[in-house]
Amino acid sequence: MALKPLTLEQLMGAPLRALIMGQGATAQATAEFVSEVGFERTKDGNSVVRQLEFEYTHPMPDPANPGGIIETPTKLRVPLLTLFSVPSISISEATVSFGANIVTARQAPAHNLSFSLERKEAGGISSPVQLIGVYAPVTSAAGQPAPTLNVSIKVTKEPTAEGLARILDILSDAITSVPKTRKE
Amino acid sequence: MPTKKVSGEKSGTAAAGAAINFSDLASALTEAVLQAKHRLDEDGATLARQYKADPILRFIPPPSFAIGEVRVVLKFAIAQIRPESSVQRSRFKQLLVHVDTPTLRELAPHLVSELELRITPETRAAAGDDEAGTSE
Repeated sequence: MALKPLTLEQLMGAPLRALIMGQGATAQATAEFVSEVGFERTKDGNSVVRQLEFEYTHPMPDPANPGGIIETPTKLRVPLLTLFSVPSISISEATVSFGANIVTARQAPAHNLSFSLERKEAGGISSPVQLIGVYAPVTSAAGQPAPTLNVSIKVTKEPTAEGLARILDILSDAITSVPKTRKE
Repeated sequence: MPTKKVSGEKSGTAAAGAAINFSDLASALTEAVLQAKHRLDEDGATLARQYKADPILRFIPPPSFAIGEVRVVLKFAIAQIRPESSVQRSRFKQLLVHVDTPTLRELAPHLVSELELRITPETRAAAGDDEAGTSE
């Protein structure tokens, strides 16, 4: 099956886009895990934290008998999410490498230009130029010619902006728990 | 120097085999990197909106990537060297090259050269920041 010729930005952009989409898919899987394991629906349809509840005896000091211990029945309620590691995969760095064969070069569409220059050369192709190519194996098989274009793109995860990181720290300090008031 | 004829296409498209200006080749490569980064950011923004709408994903930072370095190795063959057409730049030379695979494969191997470009994004402040000046 013949490969469809694409512009060079499409050749470069497709694997980069796959990184974004792949990261989104793994985050979606993490969210589904948290939703299914960590929460459950009540009969009223409300979403509540799924909890593990069990009883055990906890030794407590006996106030009437200094040095003595009273085995006190205790009930423990633990959110299920805190007992498991939430599976999460994050791409921190990636290197995208591919080969391509340039099929032709053409004048770039006007709306695709990030700058404009007036050129009046005679002959050749007036600029700006857009390269059209097809994907080709980086390592060609025996007897096959090597691709005329090799591209290697190093991608790293963008760090959180400093201002946003500080805001997140401030907001995390504001996490509190308040008793639920009964409505009459 | 290869003897393949340089076609004089003035329309928006050109058949395989037409030579291009070497400086235009460099700008085409950097333009492709810019457009790829632009598309990467657009997809990231779309995903960020989906994260915001999801009750659980909104607590997870959306993915965002930066392009560290792009290394491009390109084969080319010199087609022609000629003076610039404009009177002001007539002392400069134009280098026209072939980069399309069908043309390069017709040429003898010793006529095909290799170019390696390392493109590293540079972060600059937005133009509006310079105009705004200091705020009170």
